[in-house]
Amino acid sequence: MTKKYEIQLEISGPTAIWTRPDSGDCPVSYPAPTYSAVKGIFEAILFIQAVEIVPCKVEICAPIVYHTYNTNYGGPLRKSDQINKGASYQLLSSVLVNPCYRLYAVAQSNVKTNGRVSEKTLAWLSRTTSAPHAYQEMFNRRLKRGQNHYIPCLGWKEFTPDYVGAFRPETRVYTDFNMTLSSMLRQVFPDGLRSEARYVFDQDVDIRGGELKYHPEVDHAQ
Amino acid sequence: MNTEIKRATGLLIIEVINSNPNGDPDRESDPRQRPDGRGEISPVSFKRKLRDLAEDKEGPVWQQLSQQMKLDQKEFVILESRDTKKGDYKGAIKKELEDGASAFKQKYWDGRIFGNTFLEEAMDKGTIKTGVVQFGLGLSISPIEIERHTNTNKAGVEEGKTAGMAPMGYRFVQHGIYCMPFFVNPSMAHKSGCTAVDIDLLKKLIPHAYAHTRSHARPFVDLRHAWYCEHNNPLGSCSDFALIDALRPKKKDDPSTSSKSWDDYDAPAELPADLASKVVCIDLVGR
Repeated sequence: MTKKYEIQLEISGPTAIWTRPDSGDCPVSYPAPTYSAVKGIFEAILFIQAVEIVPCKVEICAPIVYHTYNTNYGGPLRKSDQINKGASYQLLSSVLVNPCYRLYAVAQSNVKTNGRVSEKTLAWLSRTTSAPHAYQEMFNRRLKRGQNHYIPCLGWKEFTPDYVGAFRPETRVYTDFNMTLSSMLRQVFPDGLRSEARYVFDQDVDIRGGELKYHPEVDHAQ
Repeated sequence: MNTEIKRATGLLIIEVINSNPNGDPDRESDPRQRPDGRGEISPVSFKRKLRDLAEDKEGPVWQQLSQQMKLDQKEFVILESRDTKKGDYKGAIKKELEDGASAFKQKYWDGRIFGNTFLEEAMDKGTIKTGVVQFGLGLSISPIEIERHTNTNKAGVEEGKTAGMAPMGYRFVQHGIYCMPFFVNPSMAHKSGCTAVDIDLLKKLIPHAYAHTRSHARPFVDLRHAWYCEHNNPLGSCSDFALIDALRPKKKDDPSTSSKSWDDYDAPAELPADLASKVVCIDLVGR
């Protein structure tokens, strides 16, 4: 049986948005991060091309509270008539406030490199007997020191966390929360390094006792 | 001149007195407030002020800083400009995005520093659109109290009148201390084209962000402190969140009640020794 290299972290912040794609241009958040968002949070701490992060589950550790959040955009991506009128584009969104999550994932050898790993990675692989094991060690070291490639975010880049690190003893799983999501975006780029966009959704995603287990990886229909 | 960008963790301590630091368009421009009563300032709002100061090339802030730093104004154009005119952008920018977007990156200061969505259109997916500087949401330490006043308005607010009353035209926070974190992530710099000079300009603009953009709605919103903690290496020499926690003011009495003045808070004047040895921490406001 292949050894599993498990990694985990806790993240919290004042605001989060895990955008439901069906909410169009007035984005609404899922109660918990998507598979790809969890992957991105781990990869913000440490990204190695030769290793794939496979999110397993998330525990919701704060009540789910929605709040409206608006921003004005006054830049060149506005439509011509908005520019002519000098009007801003207002983005209205429904975000979560004071969220807290415990995230779990497994580091495994990346079989989706599509032959596009860098020379630097190939050289590193030649010196490493187990890339996932090395990843796990480096990840835990970085998490403990508070180091990262960039500050992970809670959905949008401006929703910065107020804590990223090891599990805090005072944190409790919000066990009262139960919900079934008929559909949840899983990934936009499921095919690995420098691949084309391919939208993959999970169906009938259960959140029971504050815990969401991501479906094992299967090739879902688009 | 220093050419290396070091990782940095920042914290703005913003004091609001009888002002609206950031109106909520969904609630008729009331100051933004969360369900727990605390006030919000969006990062978009703060970044707008920095952009406006950098864009006003005739203004005293740009005049002074550009002379001091010997900046070429052609390299500090604002992409997300209020002065966009029809046809100004789409064609011109498309051209600037050709050949790896080098002309684009060299021209737009806010594109380099805050990131941009235009690079998506460059069809060069190797060119990242993420910026180097990441501002977070500004949150008040305690709940805020909002007051609403009626204004007299010289411009006609009723049909057929040349002047009148603007009911609830002035909505403001009596007093609040807001904390807004920001982060400098050098890992993104080589992709967005951001340089150490861009970061230096940001550091010099921050103290003027509110003082030089005052308005009727914001007569007193100002920075008490603008902490800037530079790490010893690009990865970071300690936890960003430990730095922010250590520099955040604490309310002396019940934190669930609104404050009346700055004296209601205990505000750190420096980092504790264990953290101070790991970063170089300065107050950009210099008080």
